[in-house]
Amino acid sequence: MRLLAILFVLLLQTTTLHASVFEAETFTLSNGLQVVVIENHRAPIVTQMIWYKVGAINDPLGKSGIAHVLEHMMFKGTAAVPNGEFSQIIARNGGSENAFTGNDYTAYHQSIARDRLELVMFLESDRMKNLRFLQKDFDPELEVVKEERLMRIENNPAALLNERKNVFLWGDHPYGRPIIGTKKELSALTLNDAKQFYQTHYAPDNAILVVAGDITAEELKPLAEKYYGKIPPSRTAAEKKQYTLPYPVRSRIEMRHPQVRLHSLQRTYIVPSYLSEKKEQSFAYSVLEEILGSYQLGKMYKHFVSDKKTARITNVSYLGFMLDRGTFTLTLTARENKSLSELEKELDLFLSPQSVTQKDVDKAKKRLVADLEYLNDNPETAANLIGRFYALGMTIEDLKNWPSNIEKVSLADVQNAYKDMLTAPSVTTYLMPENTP
Amino acid sequence: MKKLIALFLCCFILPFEAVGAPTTASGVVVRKKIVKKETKPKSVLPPVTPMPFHTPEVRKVVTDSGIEAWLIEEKSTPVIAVSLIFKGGKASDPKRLSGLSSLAMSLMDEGAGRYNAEAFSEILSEKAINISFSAFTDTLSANLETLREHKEEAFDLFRLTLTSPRFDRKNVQRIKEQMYAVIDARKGDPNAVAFERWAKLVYKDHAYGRTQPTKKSIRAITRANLRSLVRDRLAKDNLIIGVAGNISAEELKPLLEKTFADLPEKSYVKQAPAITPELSNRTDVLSMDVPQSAVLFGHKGIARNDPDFYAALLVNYSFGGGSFASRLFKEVREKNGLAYSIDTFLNTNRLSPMIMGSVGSDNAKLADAIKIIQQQWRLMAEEGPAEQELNDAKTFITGSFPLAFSSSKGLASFLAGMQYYDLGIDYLKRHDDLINSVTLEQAKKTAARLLLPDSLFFVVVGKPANL
Repeated sequence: MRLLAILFVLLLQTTTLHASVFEAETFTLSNGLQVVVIENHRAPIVTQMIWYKVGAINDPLGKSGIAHVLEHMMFKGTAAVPNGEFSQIIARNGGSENAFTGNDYTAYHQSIARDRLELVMFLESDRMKNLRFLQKDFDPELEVVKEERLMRIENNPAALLNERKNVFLWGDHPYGRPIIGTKKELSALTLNDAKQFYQTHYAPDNAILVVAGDITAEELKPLAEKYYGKIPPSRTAAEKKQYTLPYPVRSRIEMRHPQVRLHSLQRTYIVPSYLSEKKEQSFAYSVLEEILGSYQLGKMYKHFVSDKKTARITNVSYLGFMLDRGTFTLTLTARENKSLSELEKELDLFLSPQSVTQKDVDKAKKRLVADLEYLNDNPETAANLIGRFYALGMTIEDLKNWPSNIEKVSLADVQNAYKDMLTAPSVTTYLMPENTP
Repeated sequence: MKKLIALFLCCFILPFEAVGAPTTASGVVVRKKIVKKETKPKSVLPPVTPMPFHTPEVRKVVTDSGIEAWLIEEKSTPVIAVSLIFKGGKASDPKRLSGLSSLAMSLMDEGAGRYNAEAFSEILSEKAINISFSAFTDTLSANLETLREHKEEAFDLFRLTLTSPRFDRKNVQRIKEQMYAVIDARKGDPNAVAFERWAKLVYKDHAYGRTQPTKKSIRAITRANLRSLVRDRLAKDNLIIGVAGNISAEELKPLLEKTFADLPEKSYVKQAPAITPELSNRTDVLSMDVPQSAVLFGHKGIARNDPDFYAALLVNYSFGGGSFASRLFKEVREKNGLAYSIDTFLNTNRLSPMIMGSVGSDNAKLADAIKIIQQQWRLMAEEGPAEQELNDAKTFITGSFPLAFSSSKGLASFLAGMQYYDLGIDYLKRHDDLINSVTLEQAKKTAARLLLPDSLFFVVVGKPANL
């Protein structure tokens, strides 16, 4: 044991200068909290992120938005650190902080000088267990979230249409509900809903602690024990549910809106993710995304913008890092005088697995792995990426193997994934100005 | 940085932030009752044993022909970043050619020298070399990011973009089409409409009033216009260079010479005259059928080189810049739930420094939000920050300073900014003293100078009730 520890320290010292994110250290506390340490000694700063394996996917029926409202409530204080002081203390110590809620996870993070790490570890561990739920804090905060919904969704026709699209695409699968909550359900959320959600899901055995920056695993371990180690596990953290998809449909939704000035077409397919069934196809979808969607070089851009000049902007996005199925989305902003139905016909002709060549695949793979090394520049970026991997149930090995898995993707893999996608459930949306016939 | 990293950081569009993006210079405020709470012993908090922060050393690297760069060498990263600033941005565009700077900067990396747009894109992405150009109100900027192993080629490609951008006819047309799309889309975005309304009402005929392109002005831009912009503005006497990352001064020197020696010696930049908009305490409402009004507010401010600038930075931080802990955030958002996003910032544009703020509020609630902002504006002007608030702002701004050093790209642009604002090569070492030496008296005086409730002008886009 002792010998190992010494070896460990020596190893850390020799790797200090060129610490690589691929050598991130991990350990698990006895209460189940997974810890990841990413060394980067360029500046005496650290980023702490805590990821809970819970997100909007866990919102109870009729309570959409509660995971996100709880995220807001997490800033409202504990007995030791009353409302208003949490952020006050971090700011006074020169820290920057924030939080975000996704479908599959919720994360809280602070970046701060290395000598204040204990302070933010204390604060973060305190609110993992001791959050206070007061009506007087909840009421105005719910109003704040309603304002957030107005800003992000109601004021933005594309976001409004996206909500409708998800309903058609996902049916009663939880991905069909907005993260921020439907207008009606959000307004009806209560303090007790938030409290119950917290008590069910917030526990060390349902979380990952990521610390990146000027720190080693040896240094962090006693601190993690000290601040997080004594929080009891809940052991009730919800089992990952199996969600079923509704019977597949292909549908089209049209929205005409007075705020809209451009005609745009968007098609979203449900495809395998890096964690769902048929996940082995996910690497091929990442390559396909690059082949179709790369700016300037992608097939979509070349065809619609450079050659045919029927679109002004194209976008391709594969959301593969999802617990359940992922999505593959193609977006086209039409040139004037081009109707969306004409553009959709052109899109259907364009989408062809046979059009992908070996050269396309080789070039895309090369581009995809070229910039991974940048992760070693900025500790915040690295923490954000690696935290997400762990929150989804993947590990540093998955990140380390990602380039070689991409390398293994063959032309046939890409063509098969492409072919499967074209028969997958999909929704196509037309977003148009108000008076479009 | 498309690819995997971007896939996570950009394409994960779903997460909702608890607050708006934290700004680099924002502030902390403590209401009186909280001050009381703060005075009780905080035994629960682990004690902090401050470690001294040694700011990285900035070196001035000058080539034989006189090209100068400021460098921070950092051996622990694989990355090298270069950040350039050229004086003369959107406000220097000719009157009928609004958007010239933006169009030119969008085209700079669309093919250069012997590479057409596609070939250029291909070579950059295979080597993970990032080159980008942007146009701001007063400046143009260019950025290079590369892994150390590709540095020779990266600098050479950067040189090509600066000295021989192609502006191929079909690319110009393609990028113009994209700009038309953006111009159209902005007309339906209440925030964008508010910004344009603000520029029009505050700056009228001044160059700052027409930095936003129109379809007509974009259509009028010729390839000759683009080429002359490059020749007139991207010149040596107009160039500022910041470099950070894994490169030594000895390695950098020949690369600087090779990369920048071919730029023209002398620039020709049209500078508009300075302007101090005289605004009054009133609210302009532009009707738009959206449920939440988008609002901009503010008036003239304090220049970056003003002796009171650091005091103004602290006051703004306490007042509206410090997200979670600022007075406006507490009063408008936390206490009353009238907005999700509310902040103020110091705009340090050369010709017209301003203090400005933005808020988005339900049409039904906006009048209340505006009333609170007006009251707080007056209160801060009259009383200034409390001692605790000033101290909190100081410890935030000094304490968060090292966070600026977390990426090579951030550092390189910080170094360029230091030169642009004439802050001196020892600025990193002096920074904390500049902040800490602001006295309470000076902060109070500056608050009265910075915040002018009788000049506080609001631009509202939406359908607000009771306004």
